[in-house]
Amino acid sequence: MLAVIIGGAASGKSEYAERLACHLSGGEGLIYLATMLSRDEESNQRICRHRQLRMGKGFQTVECPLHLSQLQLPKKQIVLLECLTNLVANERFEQNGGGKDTVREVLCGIKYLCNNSKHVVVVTGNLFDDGITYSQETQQYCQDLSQIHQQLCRQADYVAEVVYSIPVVYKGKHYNFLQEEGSR
Amino acid sequence: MRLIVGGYGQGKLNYALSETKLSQHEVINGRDCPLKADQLGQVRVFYALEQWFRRQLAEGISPFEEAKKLIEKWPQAVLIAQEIGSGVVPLHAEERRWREETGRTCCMLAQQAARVDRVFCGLAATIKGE
Repeated sequence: MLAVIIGGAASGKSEYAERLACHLSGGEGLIYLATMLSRDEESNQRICRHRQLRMGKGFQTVECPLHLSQLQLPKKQIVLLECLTNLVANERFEQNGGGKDTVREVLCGIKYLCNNSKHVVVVTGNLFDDGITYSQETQQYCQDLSQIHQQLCRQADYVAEVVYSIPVVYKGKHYNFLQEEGSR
Repeated sequence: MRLIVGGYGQGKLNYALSETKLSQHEVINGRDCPLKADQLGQVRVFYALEQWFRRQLAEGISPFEEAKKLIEKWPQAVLIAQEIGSGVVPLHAEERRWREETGRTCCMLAQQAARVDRVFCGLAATIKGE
């Protein structure tokens, strides 16, 4: 299945997506596709935090800042892609990225993942609710990302928005791990 | 403890007031209240948590720790926080820090809350609890 997990910054979307991937896998064949490029101290800290978050959960990490469709992954795995916002930014703004073809490039990549894997969990960010008008470059990026979101969510079996750690389900069966823990 | 979240201008405070039957002057406002949890008077409804966090960060105080103290001392309180994380990554480091700390702290509060409501256009959806 294809699951799309969306949320704001620091909403707990990664933790939720990791739990979902672990739940789907039963602990085997977990691949973590890491999209963030290490640019500065702050991104390094972010990467570190995420590494610690998924430590001991059985993920094999594969770096994938660009060109998702060119990856050679083992078949029938459970793949967690994190995070689409970075992948799309890299494709848009990096020299050897997809540029104008970003939407097609990324959707092709995810299609490859879906065809090749048992389950695919895509983590992405909601960047659309601050009401600010950005530079043309940034607006273009937002448009690309929103188009990809709409396409993916149309195909997805499961779509949830994580609101301050609580999943709000838009589509599919409810997988509610964090809330169970919270009320225990 | 109950947590009410939602975007800007969605009617979070009105919803809290109608739920608690309190009036506006009984509400603690994060924009102008003391920065430390133990300096607050009785907390029944706490509005604009995110602004309290922002002011705390500017003074080097940890929002996460103060929020923990707040709910320890006032376990029956209704807390209101605006969702501020759904935009493009801010250019300024302190804005990014504010988003991050508000997010992590509100995740903790949502986990501790007996009930979480999300208000949208004045309508509340209960996303946790009864």
